[in-house]
Parts: sequence; C-alpha cells; structure tokens
Amino acid sequence: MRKFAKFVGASLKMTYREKVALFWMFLFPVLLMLLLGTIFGRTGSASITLGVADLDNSQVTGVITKRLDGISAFHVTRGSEAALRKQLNDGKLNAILVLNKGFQESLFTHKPGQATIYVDKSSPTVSQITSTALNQVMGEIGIGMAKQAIPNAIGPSDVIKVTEKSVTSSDLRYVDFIVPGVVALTLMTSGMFGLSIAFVNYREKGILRRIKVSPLPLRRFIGSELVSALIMTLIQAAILLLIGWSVFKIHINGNWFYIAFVIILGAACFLAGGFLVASLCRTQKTAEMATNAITFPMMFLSGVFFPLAILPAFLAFIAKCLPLYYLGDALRKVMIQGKSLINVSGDLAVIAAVGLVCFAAAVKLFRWE
Amino acid sequence: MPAIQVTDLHKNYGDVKAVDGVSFEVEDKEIFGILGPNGAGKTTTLEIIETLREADSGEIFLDGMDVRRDARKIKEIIGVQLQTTVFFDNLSVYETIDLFGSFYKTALTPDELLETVGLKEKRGNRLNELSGGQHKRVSIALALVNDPRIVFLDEPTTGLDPQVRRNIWEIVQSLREHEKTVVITSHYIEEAEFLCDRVAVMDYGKIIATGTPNELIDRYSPESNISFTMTPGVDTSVLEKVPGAMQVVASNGGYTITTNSPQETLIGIFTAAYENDAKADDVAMKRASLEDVFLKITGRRIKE
Repeated sequence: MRKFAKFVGASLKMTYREKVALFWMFLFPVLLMLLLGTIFGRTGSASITLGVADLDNSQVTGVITKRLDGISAFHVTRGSEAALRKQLNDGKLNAILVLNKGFQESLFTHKPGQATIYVDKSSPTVSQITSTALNQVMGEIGIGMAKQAIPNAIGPSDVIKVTEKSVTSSDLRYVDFIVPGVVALTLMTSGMFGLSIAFVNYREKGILRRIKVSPLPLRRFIGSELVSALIMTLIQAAILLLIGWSVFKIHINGNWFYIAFVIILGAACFLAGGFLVASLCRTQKTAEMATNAITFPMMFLSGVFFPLAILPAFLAFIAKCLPLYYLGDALRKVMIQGKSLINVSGDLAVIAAVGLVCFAAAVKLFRWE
Repeated sequence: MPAIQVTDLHKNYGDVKAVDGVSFEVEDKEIFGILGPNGAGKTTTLEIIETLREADSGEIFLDGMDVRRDARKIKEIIGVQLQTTVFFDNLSVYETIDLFGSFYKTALTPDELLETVGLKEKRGNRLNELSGGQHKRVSIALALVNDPRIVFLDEPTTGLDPQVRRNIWEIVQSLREHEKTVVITSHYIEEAEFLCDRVAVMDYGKIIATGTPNELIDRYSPESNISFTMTPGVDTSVLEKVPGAMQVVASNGGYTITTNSPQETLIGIFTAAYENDAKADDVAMKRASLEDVFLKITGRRIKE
C-alpha cells in the first residue's frame, strides 16, 4: 500500500510539474466556463415579462392593467391565471400579477383591493428586480387612484394590497446548464488525454520495458496511474464547481454524495477510454491525433454547451450515441435538478458500460513496447 | 552452479534468425561480455534472459531458476540496464531511483547508489538536465537499485565519448568488488578486452567463440606484428628469411613482419640488420586483439 502510494505520489508530482498540462487541466476549463457563463449567462434582461390575470374584470382593474401596458419595463401578457401559472413554471414569464376577484368591490367598501404577485425565484437577481419594480408600480398606481378615481380612500397604501408569492420554475438558466456541461467536458478531456499521452510516452521512451523487467505487477502500475489521474480529475471538478457556485451562483440542489459518484464514474469511464487509446497507438503523435479525433466531435455534439432541444434532430440523435451526452445529462440532473441516482440510472449504465468495455479492451491490447 | 546457463536458444523474427542456437554459461561473480557487431543478436539474447522476450525454443536458468517458470522471482534478483534510457519527465534523479526502488521487495537507498555511480551532486536535478553519460549512470544506478545478484548492461557506453566511456568502465569494474555477476554487451573491442573475464563473440545470431580475451587471441589469432625501420633499406626477400616470419610488408621506409614466434623473429631482425650493415630502429611489437580474432573468424571487421 505504501509502495502504491509512492507511485501515485510520483505521478501526481510529475503532473504538477508539467506546467503546460496544468494549464489545460485547470486554467482552460475555468476560462471556458467563465467565458461561456459570461457571454450567454447574462440574465439581467431589459424588460420583465409579466403575466397579468384580471379576475375581477372591473372598471378599476381595467384601469390598472392599462397602466401596466404603458410601462416600458414590462412586457405584459394577458391570460387566465392557470395558463399564466404554467408559463411561469416553464420559465417563460418572470412574474404574474393576479388581480383578485372583488377588487373593485373592496375599494367601494374602503378596503384595499387584493392582488397577488408570483415571482420566479430561480434566478435571484431577476426575481429581485421584478419584485421591486412591480411593488413600486403598484404603489404608484395606488397613489394615482387615491387622488382621482377613489376620492374616499384613506391613504395610498390602503388602495392595493399586494401579496407576494414565490415560485421556482423548472427552467434552467444557461449557467446552470453550462456548469455541469463544462465539468463533464473536463472529465472527458483530462481523462482521455491524461492517461493516453503519458502511457504512450512511457512506452516510446522504454520506461514501460524497464518496468516490465522489474517485479512490479502490471495491475499495480496501471492502478496507480489510474488513481493519480482520478485524483487530478476530482480536483479539477471541485474547482469548477466552486467557481460555478461562487461566480455564477448556480443552484447545486443535489446530494453531494450522488454528485461525487457521477463525477468519479464519469472520470473513470473516460480514463478507461484514454487507456484504450494508449493501448492502440504506437506513437505520441498518433495518440494525440486519436484523442483529438475522439474528444472534439464529442465536445460539440454531445449537448454539453447547448441543450439538445435546439439541435436538429439528426444531431440530437448523434449526441445520444456519444457517452459524453449521458455524463452531461446525469450530472445536470443530479446537480441542478436534485435527482437521485435512480433517476439517472439509464445514463449511469451507459457510462459504466462504455468504461468497462474500454478498460477490458485496453488491458487485452496492452503492449509494453 | 553457474549464475547463468543458456542452452540452445532460438528466436526468429519472420525469416530472420535473430538468435540461432546460442548456448553459454556465466560463472558466479564473473564479468561476461557478449561482443559482436550491430544486429548480431546480442540485445535479443540479453532480453530473452531478462524475461523481456520469449524465446522460440531453448532453456535458460538463472541461479538455477527457469526463466519461463520463475520470471517473478528472477526479476527480484536481476538488475537491468536497457539500451533506451529511463526518463520520467519532471522527476529528479533521486526521485526516479527512489520510485524504481519501490518496485522491489528490497532496495538500496538512492544516496548509496548515487555514490556508486558518482552522481551525488546531480541528486536533485531533473533527468532532462543531464548529459548522455550522466544519463547512462542513472540507468546503471537503476540496474543496481534492488542490489541484484546478476546485472545486465546492454551497450552501456554506446554513443559516449572516450573519457566518459572510461568513467563507465570504472563503475563496471567496481561491481566486481560488490561481488556481482555482470553480463555486458558491446561492439567495442577495447571495452570487452578491458572489462571482461570472459567474452562470447557473436555474429549472425550465433556465438562463434567463447573464452577469456587471451584464450581467444591465442586460439584464433596468435600472431604478433613487429614493425620497424631499417636504414639503409633492405630487400624484403632478406626479411622473409628471418626465422618465424610469416609475412613481410614494406611501406614508406618501414617494415611489418607477422610472426608466430616473436622472440626468434626479433633476434632474426637484428641479425639481418647486422649482416646487411643496416640499422634497425623504431621496433614495436603488437599482439593481436579481439578485433583480429573477429576478422579471422568472420572475414569482416566488427565495425563496418
């Protein structure tokens, strides 16, 4: 065990001292995430999409809705409460204003009219702006009406009483989408590159042959290489999650144990893939080309950057043939949507199967020289 | 029991008989050389013994253990320096030796080994900062890391300049004091003559002669060459009558006589000079070398 740890330690040390590799392993994914998150993740939209359901359908409520239409900060959609609630849940609206039945009636009896706003809390900044803006607008309308339409009113705050309720839509923000995607992508690239290049390099230099004439068993050699690569990958994933959480405020709703499980399984799967490339390729050059040929299409076709829904059907089909799609999907569901491992068992099965097949083939085809 | 016993080893690569019926024994604590030109099959033979390759047929015993059956145990008691140098990027000399030591049940400390190969001052350097000769020394240190009974050195001085080669020779000589059995391959004649107790001469996958360097020379190329000048010059026919003279060659004022009995021939040369009123000078005698042995047996020089 101590000897195993020594080899793992030596491998880690070697990786740590390889500054170019460190850049690709740590800085690149972070930059990628920051870039994509900043470009596409901007959520402070110019206008707030507001659904208005007028249940009272009275003269007074008519005036209010008309006023709302005139405010440029709001993009108003009318509809039934049920229809609007559905749109809110789907993330198509930022908030709904419901003017309750009996609104006008209350005012005539010198009571405030009842209104409810539902605000989507899934993006904190937007919900805060929405809520502030709505309350302010309603207040202003109230003051206006207190002066003109309802002279009997006691004070402006008594005109409209707003009850705020929050809703979390099932829609993912792009940042929520991109962070698990970049983590999955990183697990793939560092897994594929981590082992394949090192192994082929060792073979080309004759290090593998030198190891072969020592009593070190093959399984211990491969095992320690795998473990050290796995450790590096987990550190990478942790850094990415930390940035996603601190910079982009992604909602990690999932169970940490599940998240770790999916990450380790995904890393192991792609390490096995890299190991297979190492067994198949003779030179470092061919190994690099093969790894690029495998990782590049996966990077763009697996739906880690964009939801499959926006891809043409045949590309979506291709994505579903690639293991990275399943890792991205599982990671997203477990991390953001808080699903359990059972919910993503299909994804996990695909990842595990690909990993096992690659590993078995790699061991079978392994060459010392 | 000999340290190494090789019997009728064969290894073919397609139609090429890389090793073609090789048999030899290496005694305990002996420095044994396998000498031959590039492509003679030296490295292949060595790698089969080292458990790196499998023979098509033949038997090998190391310390009485069968290479095919006891490979694992054998790996604990042998130390191997391969032709390719071991070179982990980003590990220091110390760390590399330390790491390889961890592959064995018992290992010497990196500092002891660096002392042996005279590389103490490079202990903290990365391997890519070392010269070719220092590299070779690291790979020799790695071959000694498990304090092996038998050490295999595959062309340890190829590509090194003469001074550095001398340094490596000293290290190999010192292994004698550590009571190691050493097998060394080389295509440098001087190296085999200088280092080895016994030498096997190999060509085209076969061992064509085995013995101590002196034995081989006595057996295959016992002649000595005596070169000298004579003023004034004499006709070569005079020198051909000198006792023991087998061949006389004249070239720019000098002569070379090849002889089997140098003492008689030397006396004969001076007698001939006296009788012809000439003066013999610059007399030098050179014994045959393993190079001549190789030339004699194969009709070729060892290095083309």
